[in-house]
Amino acid sequence: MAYYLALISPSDSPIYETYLTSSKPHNQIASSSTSTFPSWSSFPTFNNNQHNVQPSSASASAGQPPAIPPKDPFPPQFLGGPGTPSKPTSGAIPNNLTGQPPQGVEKHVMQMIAFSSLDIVEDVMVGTGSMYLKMIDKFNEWNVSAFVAPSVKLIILHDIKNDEGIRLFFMDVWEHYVKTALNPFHTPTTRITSTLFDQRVRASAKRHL
Amino acid sequence: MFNLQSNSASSSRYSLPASAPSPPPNANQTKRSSSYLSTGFTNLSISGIGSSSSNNDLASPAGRGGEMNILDRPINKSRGVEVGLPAWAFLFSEIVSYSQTRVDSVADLEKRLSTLGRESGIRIISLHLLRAAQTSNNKDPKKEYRLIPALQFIHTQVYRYCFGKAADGLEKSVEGDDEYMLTLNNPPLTQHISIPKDLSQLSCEAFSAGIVEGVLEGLDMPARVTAHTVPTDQFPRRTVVLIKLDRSVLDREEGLGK
Repeated sequence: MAYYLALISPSDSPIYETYLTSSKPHNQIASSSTSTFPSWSSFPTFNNNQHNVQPSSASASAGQPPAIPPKDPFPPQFLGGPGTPSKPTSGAIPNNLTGQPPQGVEKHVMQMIAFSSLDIVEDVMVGTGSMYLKMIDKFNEWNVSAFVAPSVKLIILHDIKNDEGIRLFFMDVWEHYVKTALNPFHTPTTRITSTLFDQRVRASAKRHL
Repeated sequence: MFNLQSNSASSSRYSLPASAPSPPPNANQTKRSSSYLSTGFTNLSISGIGSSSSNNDLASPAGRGGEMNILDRPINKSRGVEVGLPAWAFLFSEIVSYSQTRVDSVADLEKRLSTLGRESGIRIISLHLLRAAQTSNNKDPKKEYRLIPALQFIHTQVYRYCFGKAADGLEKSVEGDDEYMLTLNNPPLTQHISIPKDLSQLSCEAFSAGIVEGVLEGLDMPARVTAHTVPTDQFPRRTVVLIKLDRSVLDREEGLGK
């Protein structure tokens, strides 16, 4: 439901970043917890095994009707992720497609997760000709998917499995990027500050995510 | 048509534009026979070299309908966007003479041309892959990641895209395992350029070499690419583009195995 998108230049600097939330009710989790950061003391039995179980159960629940709560011993709200609901009084979902991080999500944490997966992106991309690398990394309940195009890498953080939508979204963003890059004033390391680009990315997100 | 003369270039610069709008009577014929200046090439010359705002007329038909932003422009428009051979020859002659006024040596001039070509190459590979992905319905877009298929991709697809036909040869150098050569018997980009005697070392195909370098860079295969004129009796303008690959590429290739 929540996404973080970064376009990364060949020198590993971000040239465009945005936070997106989807209104599509893939995976609504009802909870009153307002914890925004993993409190390790709150789940002493947390271990790797359960950690690995968690994302798959979350993805399994993605296709189910929203009424069914995920059978998850460690729901994402413990982990400071996008599943962390906002306060009930402020509405279930923060402003849709505003570019602001959803409530309860640390902006810099998402950036850090995305950039820490760059090493894995580079490991994976040398052995494959595919440009779309889906679900290459996980951090808590965040999944990382990437799209490796010439002179740009697109990295997206997502909390639900949405391969097809993300692929189409990547293709759209890539097209916008290529059109931007065809401008002779753009270099691969130029930050993209165009509001139009921003609008197009949001429109694509609305369509595909 | 436009000779590269070391001294006459600057004096003729201002007289040329006047004659440019009236193409030769057989312009259509020229365009048809020189199919390399087709769709893809428009983008090359507009995006790689063109200087945006002043180029709005060249950027037609997209630019004709007033100020259309670049994100709304279709990237697959294939009709009516061809750039004629005379236009290219004029543009390239201006590029060469402009570059020439700011360099001390032939090597510097070639480097400048190569830098411009590289800018084009980076864009060409993006555009080419994007179009290929879109025509195959966006299903699992791919790019070449092994060395030999990547070189073959450049030899056939990129060359056909830029110059209208595949390169005439792709060889591995006997001197080093990191060197490959792409041969073009009659390079079309520079067909109207005759090199004056005092610049006999110069090969304006440095621009093409730059394109190859940019494409390789887009495929994550950094290389140093240079162009050399190696005439034969049959082809006096035969040009060899020498690709010297970065060590990292060969190491990676070794790691991937056969």
